[in-house]
Amino acid sequence: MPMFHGNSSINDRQRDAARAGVDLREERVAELMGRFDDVEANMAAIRAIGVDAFEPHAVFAPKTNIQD
Amino acid sequence: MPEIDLSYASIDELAPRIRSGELSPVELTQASLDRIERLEPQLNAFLEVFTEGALAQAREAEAEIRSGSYKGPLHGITIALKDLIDVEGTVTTGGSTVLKDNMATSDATVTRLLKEAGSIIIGKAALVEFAMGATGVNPHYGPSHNPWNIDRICCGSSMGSAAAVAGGLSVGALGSDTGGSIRMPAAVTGIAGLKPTYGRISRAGVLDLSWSCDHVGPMTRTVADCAHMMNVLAGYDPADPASSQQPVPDFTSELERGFKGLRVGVPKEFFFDDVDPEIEAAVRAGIDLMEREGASVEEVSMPWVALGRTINSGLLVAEAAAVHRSVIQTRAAELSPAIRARLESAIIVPAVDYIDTQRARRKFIEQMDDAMSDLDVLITPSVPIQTPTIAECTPPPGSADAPGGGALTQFTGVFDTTGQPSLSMNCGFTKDGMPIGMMINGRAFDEVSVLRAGAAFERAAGLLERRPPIW
Repeated sequence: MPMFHGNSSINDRQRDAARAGVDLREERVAELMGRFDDVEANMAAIRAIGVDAFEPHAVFAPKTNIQD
Repeated sequence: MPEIDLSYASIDELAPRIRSGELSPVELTQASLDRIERLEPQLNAFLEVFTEGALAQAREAEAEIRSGSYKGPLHGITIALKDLIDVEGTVTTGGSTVLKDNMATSDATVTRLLKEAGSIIIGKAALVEFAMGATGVNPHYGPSHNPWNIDRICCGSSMGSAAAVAGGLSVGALGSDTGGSIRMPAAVTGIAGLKPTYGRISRAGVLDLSWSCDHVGPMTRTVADCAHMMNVLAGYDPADPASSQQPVPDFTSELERGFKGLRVGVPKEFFFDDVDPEIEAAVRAGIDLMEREGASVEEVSMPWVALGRTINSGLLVAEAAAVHRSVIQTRAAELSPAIRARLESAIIVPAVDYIDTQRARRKFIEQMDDAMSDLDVLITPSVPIQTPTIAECTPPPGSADAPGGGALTQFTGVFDTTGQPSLSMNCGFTKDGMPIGMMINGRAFDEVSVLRAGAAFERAAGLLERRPPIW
């Protein structure tokens, strides 16, 4: 399992959330720090999977309606 | 025909009686409503009961059948819908007070199909807020209680659907499954719950949680009843962008075929590594029974399989944050603390990580396809732990914790990543009388083999006669 960045600052997380259009107060970000780390840990585990040969198709991509 | 207990009869038992006129849909619906009135205070399975609407549908079904217009096995059968499925003219809350005024202006495709088949929509079943949780606890509307022990959870998020079917309040139900929300509740309440192949059943008119992981599926007392519901629900729907045009089989076609010649795989890794001993013993006994009944059983190595849940979680949180971004931006204070914290923390996932998660999913699906290329089904436990109590899963007031949820979804989420069909059914009981769930997982679009194995196991194991103590 790779190391993940569990040491991001409150300001980092506040900025990340703001980029997604969500303004969180510093106190709220502080409350959520452990959860941000959980999300980051999950992403870190996924980053460790070698995916170079794979395109990001969703599972069972939909097909044209052949009945039309 | 022999007398039956309407509260615990299967569609297979009820349908011939309804067709012949021996049993009226009105009688069956009234029996459901009476039982709801008596047991709902203990179970909290429903957010809304359609008393008048259900009786009107039942009278219509009765008239149709009397006039010779019998529509099939679901005609006159009571069905509960998880309250994220639209029914025209009623509120779809998604288990959230944010949506308490969310009036549906049309039926979901699955609602329409059930109505066209003559089913009686008995009510809207309880769920975890936005279907985003494994324990079946909802601070807004309360938990559903497990009919086998009302102090224990029904799991989530389709907890009301499971409580309604297991408690004999409805013959069948619909649930939805993004990380295990059909199969975990089915496992801990001793019923059958099928997550079909992704794209097999339409999601149109069903609230989204995670577009690429959401599945709608049946929850019933028997495996055969899941097959009957699949025959009504499966098929291409242009209103669902992910709907599949794969040919739709008769899902009942191999229910009687038995185990002889069925190729059964048992994973070497992960699924039995850290499982409650009673659960492992029951599932392994089930596998032994399959072998004695004629299945060929082999161990399968899949050392990569634990990543399936990781990928599922990565997809689910990022897509849920996108689904609910406007709620997070404007109405976060109205959410329960645990759901709010999950959504707010998920907002930080970068686009490149989400895309790489979908790439990882593609790799994972190919690995699973290879591992199952010579198998018909793969057998695993449904949940790794014994059913927690409601008290153990209830956070202190105002707390954003969601105790008890993490362990429950370890196994089910793997098959939301792959989109394979996955059935949970009862395979035994713990020493304290709680049901144990076993998953039968098939290859994409091969629900027929999954249902075949499930029906054969149900006959061989003989567990259906045992009823929950709530009566």
